[in-house]
Amino acid sequence: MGKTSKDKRDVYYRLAKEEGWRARSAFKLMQIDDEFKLLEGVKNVVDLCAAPGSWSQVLAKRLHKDGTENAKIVAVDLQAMAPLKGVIQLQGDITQVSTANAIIDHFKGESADLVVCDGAPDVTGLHEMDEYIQAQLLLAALNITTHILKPGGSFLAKIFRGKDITLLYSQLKLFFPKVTVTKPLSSRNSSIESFVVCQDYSPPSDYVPNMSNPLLDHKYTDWNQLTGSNRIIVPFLACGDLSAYDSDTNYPLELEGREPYLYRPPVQAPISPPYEESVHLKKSKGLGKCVEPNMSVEETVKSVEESVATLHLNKDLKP
Amino acid sequence: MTGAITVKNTFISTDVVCAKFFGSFVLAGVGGILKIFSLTSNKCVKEIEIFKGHKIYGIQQNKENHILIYGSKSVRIFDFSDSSEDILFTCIASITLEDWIVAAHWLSDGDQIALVTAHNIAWLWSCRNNISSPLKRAVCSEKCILYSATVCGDDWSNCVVFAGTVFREVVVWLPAGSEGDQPVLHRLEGHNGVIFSLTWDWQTRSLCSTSDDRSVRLWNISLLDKRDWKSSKVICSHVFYGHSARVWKSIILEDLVVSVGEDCQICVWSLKGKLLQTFERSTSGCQWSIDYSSKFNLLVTGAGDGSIQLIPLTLPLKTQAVLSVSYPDCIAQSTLAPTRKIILLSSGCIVAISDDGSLLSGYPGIPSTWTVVCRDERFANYCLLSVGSTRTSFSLASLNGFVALYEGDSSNSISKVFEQKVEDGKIWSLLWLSKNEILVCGDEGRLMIWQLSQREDVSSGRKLTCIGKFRLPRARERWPTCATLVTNNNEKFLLCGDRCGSVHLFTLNQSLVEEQAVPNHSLSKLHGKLGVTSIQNIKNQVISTGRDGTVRTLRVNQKSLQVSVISTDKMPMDWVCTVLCPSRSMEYILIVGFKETNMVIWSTEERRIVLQLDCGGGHRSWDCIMSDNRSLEITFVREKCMFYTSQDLEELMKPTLLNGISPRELNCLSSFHSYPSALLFGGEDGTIYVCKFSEDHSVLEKRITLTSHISSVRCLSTHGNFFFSAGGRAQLKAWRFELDLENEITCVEEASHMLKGERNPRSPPSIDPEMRYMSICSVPNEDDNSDVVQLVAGYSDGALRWLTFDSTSKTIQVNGESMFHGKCVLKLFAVQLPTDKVLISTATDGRVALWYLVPEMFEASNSVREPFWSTRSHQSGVNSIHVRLLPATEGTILLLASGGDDNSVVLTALHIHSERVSVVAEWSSSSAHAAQVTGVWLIGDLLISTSIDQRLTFWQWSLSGHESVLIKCQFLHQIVSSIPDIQDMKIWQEKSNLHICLVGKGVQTFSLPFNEDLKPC
Repeated sequence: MGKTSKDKRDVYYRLAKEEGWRARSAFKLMQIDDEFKLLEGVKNVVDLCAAPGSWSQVLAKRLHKDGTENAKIVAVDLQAMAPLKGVIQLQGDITQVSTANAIIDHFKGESADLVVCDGAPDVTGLHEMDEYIQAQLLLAALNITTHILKPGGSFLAKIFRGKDITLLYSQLKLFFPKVTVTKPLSSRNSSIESFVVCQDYSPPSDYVPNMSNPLLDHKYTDWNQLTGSNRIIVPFLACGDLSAYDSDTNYPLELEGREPYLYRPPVQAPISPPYEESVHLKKSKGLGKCVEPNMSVEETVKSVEESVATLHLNKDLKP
Repeated sequence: MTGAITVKNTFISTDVVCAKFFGSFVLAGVGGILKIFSLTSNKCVKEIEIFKGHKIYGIQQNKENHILIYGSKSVRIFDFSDSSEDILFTCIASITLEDWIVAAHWLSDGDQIALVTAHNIAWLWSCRNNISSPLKRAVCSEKCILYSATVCGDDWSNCVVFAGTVFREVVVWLPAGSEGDQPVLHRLEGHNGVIFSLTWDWQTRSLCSTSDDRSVRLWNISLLDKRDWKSSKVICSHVFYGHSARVWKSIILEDLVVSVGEDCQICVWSLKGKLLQTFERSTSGCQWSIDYSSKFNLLVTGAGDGSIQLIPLTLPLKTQAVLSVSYPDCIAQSTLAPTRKIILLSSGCIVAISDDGSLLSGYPGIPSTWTVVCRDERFANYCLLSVGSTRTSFSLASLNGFVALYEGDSSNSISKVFEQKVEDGKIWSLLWLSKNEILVCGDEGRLMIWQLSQREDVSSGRKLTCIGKFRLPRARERWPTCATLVTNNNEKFLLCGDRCGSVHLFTLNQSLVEEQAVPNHSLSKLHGKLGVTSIQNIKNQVISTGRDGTVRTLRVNQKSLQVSVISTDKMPMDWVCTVLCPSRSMEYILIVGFKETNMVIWSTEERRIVLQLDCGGGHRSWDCIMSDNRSLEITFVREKCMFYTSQDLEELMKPTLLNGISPRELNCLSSFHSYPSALLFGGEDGTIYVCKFSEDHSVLEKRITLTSHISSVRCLSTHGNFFFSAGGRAQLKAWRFELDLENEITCVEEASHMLKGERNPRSPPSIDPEMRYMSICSVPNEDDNSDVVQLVAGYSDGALRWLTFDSTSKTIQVNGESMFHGKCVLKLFAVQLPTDKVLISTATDGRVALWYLVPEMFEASNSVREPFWSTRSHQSGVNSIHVRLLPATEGTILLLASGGDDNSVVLTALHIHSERVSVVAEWSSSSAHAAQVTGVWLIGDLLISTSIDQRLTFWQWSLSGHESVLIKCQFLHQIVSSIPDIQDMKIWQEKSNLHICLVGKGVQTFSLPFNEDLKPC
C-alpha cells in the first residue's frame, strides 16, 4: 500500500488533512449544521468526548467567525488534548456531577444552548454489544446534558443504527419532542454510524436530573415492539449538499477546482494506543516471552531485547 | 397469500461467542440458538431457540444439571435430562433485566444466581417459582461501564465481584455490604486497554484478565480465609504477551492458562508465563470462546466464522522428546561417516546413506535390526536417495551416472534389483513416477524416463528401457524437483516442477524415442522462485506444493495441451513440502511443510496445524509417511543424528463439530438455477465461498474457498455455468462451475481482469481514483450457451461500464462507460422485457436509472449510453433493488422495489410501452426499518425487505384500479434475525417452500410454505 492510497480511497480523509482538521469527522458536523442550523444563535456550547478535537475546531471556526469570542465553547474529555484557540478544555468524566458544575461555572451560571457528542467506544466486533455500549455512552452524555442544557436547547450525538436502536429513540423522545436521525454525506453509506439531532429540549415535568443512577435504555413493549408494525422509528434526513463530495465515491487525486495534489502526513497521529507495548515487543521478537508485571514499556522492551541478544550469542558459540 | 406466516429458521452460521463442555456434550450458542453436540457421535443432537435475535454470551451449569444461559439482558434457566432416546431441555425460569448482563454465577444452594450487569451492578435472583423481581441489588461506588466481570463465592454473603472496566481497571468489590454504594476493595491496574474477560480459579486463587492491549495478566490473591476478602492482598504475578491482536477470553487449568484472541490463535501458557504452544486457526477468524474438558483432555473453541472445533491439548514436540535412532556399536565403529540422507519404507524400516557410501537399514528403536546393506564408493560424498510412491522400492544415483535400484520386502531384507550407468555425467535428480518407472535428469536439463522390466520376464534378466526423452528449458538450476504422470483419456503426460518454481508439461508418446526439446506448456514461477517441492496425482487431482507456502490444484487440458491452475490455497507455513493422503479415502489430506525451525503438519479437514515438531528447519534430510494403522511416522537428520517419531492420527486430529463459512463479513450471495443446493458467497476477506447444502438447506455439507482475489469481493453474478466476481482494487474474475459424475463441485478460474491493469509495484503511484466494483450483472441471454457473456458493472468512481467476457479466448474486455451517476454506484439489476432488455442502476445519491441494453453498447464503439428514465427515489444510497414484471394491455408494467440508506422501502409501478415510460403508481414507507434497508425482493404478492436492524419484514402488495392505478402495500409480518450487518438477501422457491437467505456477519436461512397465487390488476 502506497502512502497515497488512503488519500485516494477516502476523499474526506485527505480533505481533512488539507484543511487542517484533526479528524475527517469535522465534515460531518459541518454538514449536519448546514442542514439543521444548530449553531444559529448559540452562545454556550459543550463538546462531550471531544478528543482529538475536530468538532471543537468546527465549533470554534463557525461560532467565532468574526474573530470575536462571543460564544463559549467547552470541550470535555477524559484525556487531555492539544490546545485549541477559543476552546475551553475541561479534563473530566461526563458521569460526574462535578463535571456538570464545572461546565456551568465556565458559562457563568448559564445553561448550554447546544450539547454535541461524537464519542464512540472501543468496538469489539460484536455488533449488538458495541451498539449497547454506544447507547450507554450516549445516555451518559444525555444524563449530563439534562444538567446543563437549557429548555428548548439541542443535543446532537453519534448513534449506531442497529438492532435495538428503537429503544434509544423511545428514551430520547421523552426529553425531546423533535428527534431526527441524520447521516451526512461524509459518513459512509456502508457504516452503521448515524447521528441523532434532538431539538427543543423539554424534559418531563417531574424529571429531576440525577447523576447517581445511570439512565438506562428502554425495554421492548407493546408500543415499541421487538418485531411488528409498532416500532418507534424516528424520521431520517440525509444531509450534505448534493454537490458535496460523497464519501463512498472514489475521486482522482487531482480534484476539480482545487490546488494540485500534495501528500500530507496526518494532522495528528494516534496517541499511545492500547497495543503499543505489544507492537514494541513484536518488533523486538519478544512476543511469547515472560514479562515482569511492574516494568514500564521501555524497560520491558529493553529486557526482551537483551534476552533475545543472548539467545543469538549462544547460537554463535555452537560449533 | 393469506393467513399467518410461519417462518422457520433452517440454517444459521455466525460468531460462536460461547461454547462449553457439559459432561459428554458440548453446548454452544450460534446466534440465539443453542446447539448440543454429543462427543460420542460428534454430531449436533439437538437445537433449541433460546433468544430471539440476540446472541448467547454465556452458559453456566450447576450440580443439579440446571443450565443457565444468558445473553444481552436476558437469562433463561433449563433443566437438562438425557434419556437413551432424547435429550430433554426444559425451561424452568426466564429473567429479563434492564441492563446488559456481563456475568452469571450459580450459588451453592442450587437455585440462586448472582448476576453482574454492565453498569457495575450485582443482582441476586432465585430461579424458583419463576420469581419476577430480584432478591437483592447491589451497586458499586465505581460507576462505569463494564466489558466483563466474574463472580465467585458460594452464597451472596461471601460473593466477590471482579469487574473489568472501560477505564482499563479491574475493580474488586463485595456486593453483600451495608446499605448504599459498595466500596471498591481493590483496583487492579496495569492493563493499557479495555478488559474483555475475567476468569477466576479457586484452586490457584488466581484471576486471569485479558485485554484490548493484547496481553493476559495473571493476578494472585492471598486470602487468610476463604471468606475473608477484606484482608486479601492482590499482586499481578505475570503478564503474558503472545497474541498479535486483542485477547478475548482465557481459562485457567491446573498448571496452564489458555487464551484466545482476535488473531485466530489459541495460546497455551505455563503459570510462569512461558508460551508453550500456539494453535493457529487462521481461516476461522476471531477465536471468541474457549473451554476445556479434563475428562477428554480436549479444548473446544468457537470462532468468528461460526465454526466449533475440538482440539487435543498437546504441546509441541521437541527434538529431545523424540526417539534418537542409533546404530549398534558394531556398525557405529565401522561407519564413521555421518548419515547424509534417510527415507522411510512402508514396512516402517529406515534406509540411510552415509557420506562414505554406506547404505544402512533398520528399525527405529531396535538397534539389533540395523545392518549395512552395502558400502559402495561410487555413492560416497554425492548420492541421491529416492523412494517410490509405494515405498517398497528405492534408488541410489551417483555423481558419475550410476543408478542402483533396490527393493525392500516386509521382512526387512533389502535387495539390489538392478544397476546401470544411465548418464555420462552427474545425475542431478532421480524421481519415481510409478512402481517401475523413474525420471532421471542429466546435464543441461536432459530428462529421460526409464522403465524397468517386470519381474516375470526374469529369463532375459531385468533391464531398463528408455521410454521418453525431454529437455527442461534453460534455467539457473535446471533439474526437476518433483514429477508425476497424468493420464487423460488414454493420453499420458509428464508434469514436472523445477528448482526455480516452474511447472512443465510434456506429452508421453510411446513410439517416440526422439527428444522433446521444448515443453508443451510451462507455468513459469508458479510456486515462486524457491522451487516446486511436490507434484502428486491423488484421486484424479493433480496437487502441487512449493516453497512459496501454497498448495495448488492443477489440471491438464488434453486438447490445448496446457496446464491450468484450478485452485490455490495459502498455507500458514513458509515452505510446503508434500501432501499425504490416507490410502483408502480422500476425506482429508495432510500437508507437510516447514515454518521457521518447525516441521508442521496441517489438516485440510480441520484447517489447522495438527502437529509441530522442532526439527531445526527444512534444510535437512527428512521423510514422513502415513502408515496403514493410521499413524504418522516422521524421521529426520539433525546435527548428523537420526531421529524418529510415530504419532497416532486419532490423537492428533479431532473432528470439527460445526463447519464455519467466513471469518469476516459477507457482502453478497448468488446461486445457480441449475443447482440450487449450492450458494456462492463473496466475502470482505477477498474469498469466494462455494457452499453445498443438504437438500433442505439445513446442513452445510461442503465448502470450497476461492482465494485469488487481491481485495474484498463485493458482488457476484451467475450466468449459465459461469459466474463473475468483482470487488476491491477494480478486479473482476470469471469462473466456470462444474459438477462431476458424483455431483462434486469444481470451480475453474477462467479469466482475471484489473481495470487499470496489473501495476508494477515500483512504478510511481498513479493519481487515478482507487476504485472498486460495487455491483455487476450479466445480461440475460436467450442462448445460455453463447461464447460471449455481456456484463454491466457499477463502480465506486461513479461510472457504469459495459464489458464482455469471451469464454473461448478467456478474456474480459471493457467496451465503454457512462458517468451518468457521478456518485458511487451501488446496485444493478438486468431484466428481460418482452421486447427489450432493461438495466436498472442505483447510486449513493438516491437516484435510480433505467437503461435499454442494446447490442451496440457491448461493442467497442462510442454508442450513446444514456438512461431512458431516472428519478431520485431515496434521500441517500439505494442499497437494494428488485423488480417484477406484470402484464399490461399494452406494453409491460415494471414493478420496482427499492430499499435505501434512509430506512425506507419504495415501490414504483412503471408502465413501459414502445420507448415511453410513465410512473403509474407509487408507494413508500419511510419507517419500514430502523436502519439501512439492504435487501428487497418481490415474489408472488409478497414484498420482503431486510435491513441492518436485523428485521425481516413481509409486506403484501396489490395493484388496483383501471384509469388511475393504485398500489397498496400492507405490513404482514416481521421476524428478527441473528445475523448482524446484513448486506444481501436472496429468495428462491423450491416446490411449495420459499427459502430466504441473509448474509452479513454470518449466514441465516429461513423457509416458509408458499404457493404463488398472484392476481395482479
